[in-house]
Amino acid sequence: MSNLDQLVKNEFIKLHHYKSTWAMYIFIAVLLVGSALITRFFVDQSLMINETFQEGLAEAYQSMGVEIPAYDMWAFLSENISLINLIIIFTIVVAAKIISNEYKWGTIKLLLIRPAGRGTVLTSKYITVLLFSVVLIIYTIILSMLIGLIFFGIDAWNPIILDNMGSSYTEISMIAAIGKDVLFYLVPLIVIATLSFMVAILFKGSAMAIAASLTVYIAAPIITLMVSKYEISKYLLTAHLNLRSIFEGAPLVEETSFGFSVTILIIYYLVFMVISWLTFQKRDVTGH
Amino acid sequence: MTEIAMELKNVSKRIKNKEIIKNVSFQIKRGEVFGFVGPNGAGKTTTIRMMVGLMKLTEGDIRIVGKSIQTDFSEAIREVGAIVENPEMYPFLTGRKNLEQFARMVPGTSIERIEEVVRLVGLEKVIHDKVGGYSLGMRQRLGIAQALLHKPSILILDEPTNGLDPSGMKEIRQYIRRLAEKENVSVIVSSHLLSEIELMCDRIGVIKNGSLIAVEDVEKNRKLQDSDISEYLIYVDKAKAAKEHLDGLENSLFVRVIDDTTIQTAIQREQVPHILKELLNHHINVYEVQATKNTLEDKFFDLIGENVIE
Repeated sequence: MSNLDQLVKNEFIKLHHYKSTWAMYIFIAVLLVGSALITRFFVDQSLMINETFQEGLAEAYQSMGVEIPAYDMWAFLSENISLINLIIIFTIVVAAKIISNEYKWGTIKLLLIRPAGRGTVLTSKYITVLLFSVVLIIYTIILSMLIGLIFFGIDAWNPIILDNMGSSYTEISMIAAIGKDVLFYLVPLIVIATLSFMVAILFKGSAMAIAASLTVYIAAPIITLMVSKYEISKYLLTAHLNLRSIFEGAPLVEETSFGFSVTILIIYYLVFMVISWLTFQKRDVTGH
Repeated sequence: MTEIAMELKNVSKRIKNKEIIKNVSFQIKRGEVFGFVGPNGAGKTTTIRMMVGLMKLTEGDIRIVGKSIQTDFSEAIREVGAIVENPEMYPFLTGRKNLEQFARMVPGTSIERIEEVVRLVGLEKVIHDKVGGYSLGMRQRLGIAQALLHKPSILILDEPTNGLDPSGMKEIRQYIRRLAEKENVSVIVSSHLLSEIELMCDRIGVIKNGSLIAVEDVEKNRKLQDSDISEYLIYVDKAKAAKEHLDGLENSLFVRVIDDTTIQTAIQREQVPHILKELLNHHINVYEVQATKNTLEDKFFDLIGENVIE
């Protein structure tokens, strides 16, 4: 149906009527301001630079003749890109709630007796989840830049830095490096959000979905290490979530190539999607 | 335009080898109010869920204005407005914002239409309040508003008077009649209380243990009461004398003595004055005459007996 955009709009309106959604925005802002204050007033910034530029990296900078940058807005931003970890957790919650709330309120019935059809309704919810996480990421980036600019100023508008591009350190612009980092976070974000979405559909509740997805995401390294002596461990989802370290040549399970990880992730993703859509399309909507 | 708004053809539903709905077939005409009555657990809500596509049919088909709910869902459901079970809305949104949500789900629903249905159900005063603070009656009305937004040809209301006070019930009843008569909307109303539903329905389908066991024409039933034979209790001062006298009359009546002052007889309604005249003329005092049978309610109980949950 053509009114998918209207359904997404509906979902966005509902989502932004929850207090918990606004709490997410506020929480990120508080964290950013707090970390800026601490970095500015309580920490020696040159120490932080030294910590980041340890052995290999500092040497690489020296040998390539690139100047080690001072702590400025860009440093603050690239430090806070890791807040996407938090955004992934928020997205897990939103993906679970966007399904389970409709069952909880009984409004699922009103959603499904419209011409749009079940597939479209589910698609609109899924798009909303991903769109919301993108909004949160953009919000975090813009806010980091603003706060970084206020507290630390800026050296150059798009400085050249060295970044680990798998085999070696390469010269790359700051903006490209940050873009690469965000992309590496988006992969586990999408896969884990889809997992949460699927579990919420299967159980019609959010508790199981949030618990399962959080466990998979946060405990991924532990789970993987626990079973790493078995051959099967390299087919586990948890072994491939940290795509960045695989790209940089330090996978959780030895001898997993980047291509192999991407293939495994795509397979998991497709399985989650198929189970979600089939279940939602086929299942009778009964009383609570 | 077909005259049949909705048609159920041999509809069956099995869940885990248990047949919940058994081969139900009936039709609903345009502009008709159809009551769907049965005890709790008889299969009313399951049938309604199948009508709106929330549950799949195991066998048979449901056609809405000629379109199958199974193969032509979008087109079929466009003609339907429904409240299934309770009128549930988003509690954190205002009534108005709730309606806006539903308006966006069906392309071509205008802002004016929202205002129109709000006026129709009389919610103007509270429409900008959050639904969380609404009473059940207000939510019921908002539910009807939501169901009417896209101008459906069929309105399905599952227990619409549930939880309403008597004046609220009366209002909903009048409102449903008005919709059917003025806007030619077919209305399907389910209830486990026949007395409540017979006041607003043209026809009533009785469901028991998943089978449709009767479809009664309410109007016809009302008319029948004049010529049909009914049972009456007559309270007199001398029951035995009354029986003796009535037994001696030309067309032998069935008269039974209940106790010293009560007799029971089965006669047509129009015979009642004649019988009374006979009794009074023969110095048998009559204090009270009471019809004891043949309302729709009794028919309903005869049909249903006890609902055994199988």
